[in-house]
Amino acid sequence: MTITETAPEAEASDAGHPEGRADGDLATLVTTGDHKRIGRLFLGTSLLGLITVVVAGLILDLERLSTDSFELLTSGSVVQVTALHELGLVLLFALPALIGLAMVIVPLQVGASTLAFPRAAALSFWGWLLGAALWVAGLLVGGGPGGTDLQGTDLWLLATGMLIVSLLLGTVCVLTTIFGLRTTGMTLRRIPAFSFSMLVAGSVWLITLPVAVANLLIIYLDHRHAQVMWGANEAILSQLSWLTGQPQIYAIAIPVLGIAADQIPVFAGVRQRFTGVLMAAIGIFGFLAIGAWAQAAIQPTDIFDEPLFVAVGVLAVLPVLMVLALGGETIRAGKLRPSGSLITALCAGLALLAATAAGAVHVIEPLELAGTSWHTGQMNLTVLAVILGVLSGSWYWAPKLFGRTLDDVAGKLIGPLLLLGGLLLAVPLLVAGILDQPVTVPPGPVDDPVGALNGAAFAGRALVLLAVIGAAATLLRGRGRTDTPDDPWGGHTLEWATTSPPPVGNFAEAPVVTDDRPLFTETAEEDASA
Amino acid sequence: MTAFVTDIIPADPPEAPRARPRMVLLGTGFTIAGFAALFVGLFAVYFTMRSSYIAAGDEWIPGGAGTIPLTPASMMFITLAMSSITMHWAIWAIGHDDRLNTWLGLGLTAMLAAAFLNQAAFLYDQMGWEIAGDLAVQSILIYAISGLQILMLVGAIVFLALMAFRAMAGGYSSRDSEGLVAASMFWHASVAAYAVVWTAIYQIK
Repeated sequence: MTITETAPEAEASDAGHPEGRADGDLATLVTTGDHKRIGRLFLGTSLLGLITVVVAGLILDLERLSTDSFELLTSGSVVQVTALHELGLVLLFALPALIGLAMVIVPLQVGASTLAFPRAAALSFWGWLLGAALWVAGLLVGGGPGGTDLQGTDLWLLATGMLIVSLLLGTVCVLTTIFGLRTTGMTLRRIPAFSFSMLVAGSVWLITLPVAVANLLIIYLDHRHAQVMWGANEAILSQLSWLTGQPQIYAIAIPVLGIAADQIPVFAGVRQRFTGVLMAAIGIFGFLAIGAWAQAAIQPTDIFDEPLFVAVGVLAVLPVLMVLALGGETIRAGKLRPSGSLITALCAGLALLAATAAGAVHVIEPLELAGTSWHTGQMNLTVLAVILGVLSGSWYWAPKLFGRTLDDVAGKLIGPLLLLGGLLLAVPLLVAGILDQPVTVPPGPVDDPVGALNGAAFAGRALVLLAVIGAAATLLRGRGRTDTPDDPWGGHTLEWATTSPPPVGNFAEAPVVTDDRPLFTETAEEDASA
Repeated sequence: MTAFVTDIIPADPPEAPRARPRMVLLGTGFTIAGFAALFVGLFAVYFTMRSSYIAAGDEWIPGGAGTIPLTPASMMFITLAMSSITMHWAIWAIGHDDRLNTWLGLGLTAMLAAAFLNQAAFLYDQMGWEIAGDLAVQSILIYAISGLQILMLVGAIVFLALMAFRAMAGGYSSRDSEGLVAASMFWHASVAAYAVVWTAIYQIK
């Protein structure tokens, strides 16, 4: 036993409740080592983060629509809100939401009784939450990129580092679970698609996000002591913009492929077709998403002149297309039951395909889309895929996450509504990019047709916000119901072999696996005997 | 009735106990990978800046290479290299249930680490660089990289101390020394990090 394991007495004291003591107890929340509870905390707070950053996006859209007589933000504030919106989408929503989902689902999928290093996972959440609070506070006191308060900027830089380090700690817990806590027979080839996609995504995050910490360290020292490398506040955002640009932005979308790939065979009622090819496609997408090299600090020339950058931008669409094609082939081989989660997952896949296609067009130099709002539209499409993926996963795994199924009708509505809103947001920005609208929000009013396109983007973002609030309300509704079946979908993978919600220790007995779809095999035999 | 050998040998031998997952080693490995990426990020900026200065016809370190004295930096390298050996000594000893040599190895490692930190303070003092003026860019990068390595070593000291306390309490033996091995792995990684810092910054300048 090592000091990082959950204390046995803690497990014993939780044994009375199906998954320990109630969530509402603050002391239990703060000290919990239960991976399901920590994952839920990550998911819930990241949804709050999403609402915050979408509102920030709406403010930017309003600024784009502003007239001479009405300006919402000063030029410095525009940069601050842009930082809140763009970096917030990654650091306050996408990464924590995916890590939260993985913290709950990955141990169940690989047959582990717990997450590796549960206390480190708890530290990861609380560190991230504190970092997020300081991050927003740094902006509110006038710091951050574009801010005028130097100490506030120092705080913002440190908080950004804290956010990333905390998220990396959570990533290490998930990766160690996948590598070290798989149950008997669960080889790496047999792990479900979501766990595999988290393995790929976690590895990419682990080798790229520390580079952002390196950037922050240098920016912090420069900003605090000399301001000779990148000035006071002006260039901070551009030094970190690689996190939200191609190809690094795809790193947050890797698990979306796994979420979709786990559901399609279940709702088609057949085995996944060409599992090896599917895993290879997810792995290739992950490899192409390594983007720390494409940053301003180490690229003396324009990144759009780099052949590697162009090649990666064009190639990224292929693995996504491959995963969707394999999904289509699997659907064709079976009989589809369209559930809310599946529809949302398919919307996520389409949004990611649109994002990578937009990314492929973005890097074609003769089109001269670099530095235009095409970048913003492409980023929004990628994040849209992540929002849809996280919601789809939340609906699908709701029995394990929350101990209940979610409203399927709402699920069927929210996915398409989000996709519609996201497309209404992103497509006008892409078209405005073709019309040379710069990526930064211009200081004055813009003429039609770009002004009209910005109006459409505003409407699209408002629709996205409404859909996200609707989804959050559905997640909160009906808490405490206990009549949930263990496996409402006829799932194929191990998480459906345990109760809903899973007990402390996840499984009554450690499962033994002889197949990549252990529950599907049993179902088929039962069907045959029937 | 004739008894056959097969009657007393079970048809299926009992299943071998499942290998204990080596989680601390795995977690330490991932942490080292994260630190490696961090150093790669810092060195990428360092060498980009350095080459841009040289390409512009400027000196990377104004005032000549003697501005950063090599002797203390090399002594620091030798100190850490010795600590790697004493660390390995401790691991070898715990693998043979030799507690006396384990304590000796760990104690010497801690002592060498303290010597390294003292030497680092001496080197910084001798350099006398401030993050200002002509040397501001160079100072930022060199302090960021060397400071991070020192931070990593301090982390390794804390990790080693925690595992050493567990070893003192009898938590580790030849059958299970995972925590100590993980701490030693992190230790060697921080020594390797200094080897790169020594080569890239103090040697090449």
